[in-house]
Amino acid sequence: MEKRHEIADHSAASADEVPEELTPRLLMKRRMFRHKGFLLGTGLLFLLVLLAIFAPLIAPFDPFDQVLSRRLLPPVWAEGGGWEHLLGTDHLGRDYLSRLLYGARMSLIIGLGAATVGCVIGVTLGVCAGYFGGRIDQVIGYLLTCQLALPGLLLAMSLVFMIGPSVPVVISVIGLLHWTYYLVVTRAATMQIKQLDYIAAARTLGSSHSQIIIYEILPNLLNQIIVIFTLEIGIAVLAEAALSFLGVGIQPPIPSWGLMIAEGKNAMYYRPWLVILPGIAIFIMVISTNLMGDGLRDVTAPDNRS
Amino acid sequence: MLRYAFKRAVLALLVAFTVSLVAFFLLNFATDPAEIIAGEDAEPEVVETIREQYGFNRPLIIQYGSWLAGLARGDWGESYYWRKPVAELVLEHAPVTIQLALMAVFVTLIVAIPLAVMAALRPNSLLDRMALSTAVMAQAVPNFWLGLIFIILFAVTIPIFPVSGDSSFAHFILPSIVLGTSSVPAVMRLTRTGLLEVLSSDYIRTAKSKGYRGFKLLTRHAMRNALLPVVSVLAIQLGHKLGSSVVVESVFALNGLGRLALDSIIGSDIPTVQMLVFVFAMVFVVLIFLSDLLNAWIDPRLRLG
Repeated sequence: MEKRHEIADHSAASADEVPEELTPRLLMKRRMFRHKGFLLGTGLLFLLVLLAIFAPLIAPFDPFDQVLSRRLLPPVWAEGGGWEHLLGTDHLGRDYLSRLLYGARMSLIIGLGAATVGCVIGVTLGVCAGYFGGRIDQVIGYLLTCQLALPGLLLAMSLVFMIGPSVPVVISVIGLLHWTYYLVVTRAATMQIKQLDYIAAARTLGSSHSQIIIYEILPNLLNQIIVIFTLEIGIAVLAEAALSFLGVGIQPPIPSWGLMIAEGKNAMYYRPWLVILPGIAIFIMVISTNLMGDGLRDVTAPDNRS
Repeated sequence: MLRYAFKRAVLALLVAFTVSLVAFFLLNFATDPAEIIAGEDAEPEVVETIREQYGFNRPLIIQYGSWLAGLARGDWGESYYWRKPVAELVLEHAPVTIQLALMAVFVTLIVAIPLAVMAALRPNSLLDRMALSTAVMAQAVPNFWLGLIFIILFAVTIPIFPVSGDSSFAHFILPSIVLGTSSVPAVMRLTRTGLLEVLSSDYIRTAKSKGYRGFKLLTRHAMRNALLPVVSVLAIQLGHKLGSSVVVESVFALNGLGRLALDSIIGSDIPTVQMLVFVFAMVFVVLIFLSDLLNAWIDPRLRLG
């Protein structure tokens, strides 16, 4: 870590005569390729995205196809398992591998969607609070306190179930309840950036508030926003899994990992794989986004890690 | 101190009522209570009659007002689904959830604090790295899944603890471990960071030069300051535990507030859900209020804020 400091200080001190390969961007790339957690997380997530996109090509069976004569087959490594159904079949005779692959799609769509919804709300509020300050900041601060006091899971469950559980509803509700992290970080960063000379320069040149926010402040927040966005994907995936597990999220027969765990629960004493496998899938998805997010934070802002 | 406490208390109350207002509007926007009471395939006239009988045709803000007025009188409303007063339902189910939440926080503390202390005393050691990477991994494990794995393990392989129901103390052990471990990463990271900061400060160096070593240095000097942020986080975590107990209660078949919430949601029982949202928000707000006071009591500088 101290070494990195040296490099960073060096580049800052002699910005004019640094050779081309030491620009901040290149330094960042270098750090990226040295950060093991980041590489592992990004690699895993990339793999999951590929699996999700090409699920129709990879999946050996249709995930909705029920073959009642082939119910609850064990995976290939367990006794009685066969190569035809690598990970066995569920209580309706559907191929488990295919359902897991399609479940990755569902998880990613909901994770990305909810993180985007939360991002739009949180960043808007955060930038406004940080930029305008005063009354606006106080009101938004009050909103934040209220949001933190809301029992999130309970409200998400009731809203999703009562509006009618569908994918867009799950995405909007989870997004609507997960924006505080964006707000806190962008607010603090905006307050710092606002003080810088180049913002004053833009003001003197006659830029309006919205121009300053869009062209001068937002680009500088991008790194932090991407870090939070990545971490929020994991949080949203966990939230969706919990909702679907409780029966108030994604509804059958759509393949969702949380729902698959709920469906496998009844047979879990003699077919534990039905519960274990989707759990591992959720774990891999969430840990990859967490590693990638933490790694991105280390790489883009190595000085303020906590 | 009194002035500070008063300001905090007013804010807390305001927040709790804003939250209940938001919940009220969101829930009423999400579903039509008259149709739920009437049941599926009810005649439109029947729905209309019910709407008038229960006063659902009034503007929402007036309905909210009468809900508030009832709350002030101690009347928490009547559940459509359970056909019982909501207050009775909540009081019936609360003890299980409170016991679960308290035991879970205890689990969090006895795992997170010693780990954090050991990690902070030897930063970058093998133990520190292992603790941190375990924390990263633990954050990615879904709560309910861990619960089910415990059930598979403890029901079949090593049957020591009961895995379903809430009739004895032993029934709470596994659920509170599952619920407790979920906040170990946050509390551990925070304590470790706080302790590292404190340990490198001047007054610790002074204490060391005066001859304090080891355990005494830690408990008498370092921990006090390092625990300040932990108090707030614990309050937040305890609040979240109450809220997220629904998952664990469902997995281990505990009949607490979470179970009540889930059943009421599936029965679209707005009065109960509304009240539970309010109760959870209220508990959360009170916990934050208490932790603010506790922090202000430990650190007088905060009273000016």
